[in-house]
Amino acid sequence: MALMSESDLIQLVSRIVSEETQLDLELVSPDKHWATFGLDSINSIYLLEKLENELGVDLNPLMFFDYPTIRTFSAHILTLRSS
Amino acid sequence: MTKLWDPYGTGNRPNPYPMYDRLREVAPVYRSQSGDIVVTGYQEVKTVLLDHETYRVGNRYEWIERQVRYLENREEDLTAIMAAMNSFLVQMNGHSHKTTRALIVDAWDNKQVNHIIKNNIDDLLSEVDGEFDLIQDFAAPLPVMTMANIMGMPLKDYQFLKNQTSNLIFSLDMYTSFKTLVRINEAAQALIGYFNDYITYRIKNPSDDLTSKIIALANQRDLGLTNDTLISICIFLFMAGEETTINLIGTGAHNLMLNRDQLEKILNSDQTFDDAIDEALRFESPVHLAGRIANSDSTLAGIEVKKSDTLTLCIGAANRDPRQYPSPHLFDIGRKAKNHIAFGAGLHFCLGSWLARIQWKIAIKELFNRFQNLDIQSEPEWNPMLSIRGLKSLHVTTNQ
Ligand code: HEM
Repeated sequence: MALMSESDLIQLVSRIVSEETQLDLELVSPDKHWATFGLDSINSIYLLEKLENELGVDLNPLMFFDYPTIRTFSAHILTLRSS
Repeated sequence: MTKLWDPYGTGNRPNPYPMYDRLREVAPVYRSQSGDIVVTGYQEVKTVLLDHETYRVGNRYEWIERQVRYLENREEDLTAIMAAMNSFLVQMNGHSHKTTRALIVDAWDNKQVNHIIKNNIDDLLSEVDGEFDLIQDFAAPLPVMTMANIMGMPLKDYQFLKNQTSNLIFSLDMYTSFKTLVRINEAAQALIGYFNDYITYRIKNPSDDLTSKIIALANQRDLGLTNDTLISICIFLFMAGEETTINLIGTGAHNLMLNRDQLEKILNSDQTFDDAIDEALRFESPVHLAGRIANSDSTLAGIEVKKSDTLTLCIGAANRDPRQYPSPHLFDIGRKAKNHIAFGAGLHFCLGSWLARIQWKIAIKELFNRFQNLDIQSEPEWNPMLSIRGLKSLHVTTNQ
């Protein structure tokens, strides 16, 4: 997959979060904690699987807690992909 | 910013101990980023292990159950994991734990295992010379062969069993990804199929193996166990007996080769051998993390624990707590580390500790008596699992 800008990545992660949680995309703010969207240690696993497959990176479930917003999480994915 | 709890951080896999030290110093009981409470102090871990009223086991089973139910709505069927784990002794509480534990302990009346272990070691060591991988060629197959002998399975099946249990063991790890869950599920299906056939065979053809004895005693006690329950009990017993001992043999041999004076000492005196086993267990505790769930609100070392909170007990960190063991990062068989908690404590105390000790002793003796110049050839590689800690490979040479 081609290199992405941070804002493209935030959009992509937001879209997948919206699909998984059935929330309207406008409600999925990149700066709110995952828990705001009802995401937790159970349903994050399937979300991470979808993201792994779309982005071609390995995502450890602990990362979900290390980077608790779409913005910080996306920034971290960019560092993974560049290394 | 460095995170206090960062088990996957760079360098923390081969050596998690600096992270544990920092964490323990700041907070021996620490609420981590995931909300899970991480316990690294010796006294604190022991307190939780011994307080069965406030804390229960089953954290992995409960998490898997919720995960599998959730994934059912996503058209993903991982129910074999639940079926396989349903009667894992280490995840059971209360009455069912008590009767199942008593069943295994009472059925296991034959502790004459020295000749079995010795034969298996002879078979394995006759195959190696020069350069070999001490883990893949020796430490890994040995306990699997021994458990297969004890439970009455044909030895030819040990490679299959090893391949499957080394995936199923991840059901007890933390932070399992979807892909790992799929692998665990495949292993669960394969092992359920295998043990179903095997237990059916033993019901018709009982012998003096442990599996037959468990089946017979369950009948005698009228426990009303279904085949599914027996399958799960046996899968766990088999896996608990091998996936742990592998690591004690591997890291134990490694640390003895790094400390040759201590190796010489134990080979020359049987009395120091028991001290060496305890130090090996303390220094690299194979069951590295254990889990609990809080039954009620409480405080632990000043930290509030809420009902249903999960706790991660870092046994490996507790056994290196400087408040308990001066100079904890020194491998020293002279310290006589009797009170380590590598086998747990309380109701779930390891019921195979005697077997692990005997097997380690014979394995280490045979290995170094046969190859007196055995030495490390290259840096070892560590396994990716957090809960069970051990080496994946350790290349050694028998030449000077
Ligand atoms: C070096 C080897 C071993 C180590 C470090 C080890 C460690 C442990 C620990 C720490 C526990 C308690 C876990 C907890 O409280 O959450 C445990 C439980 C258990 N171990 Fe071991 N173990 C080893 C070898 C064995 C062997 C050889 C067997 C034989 C089958 C075995 C069978 C079991 C069983 C059945 C339990 C569950 C007991 C219960 O829940 O009542 N283990 N072990």
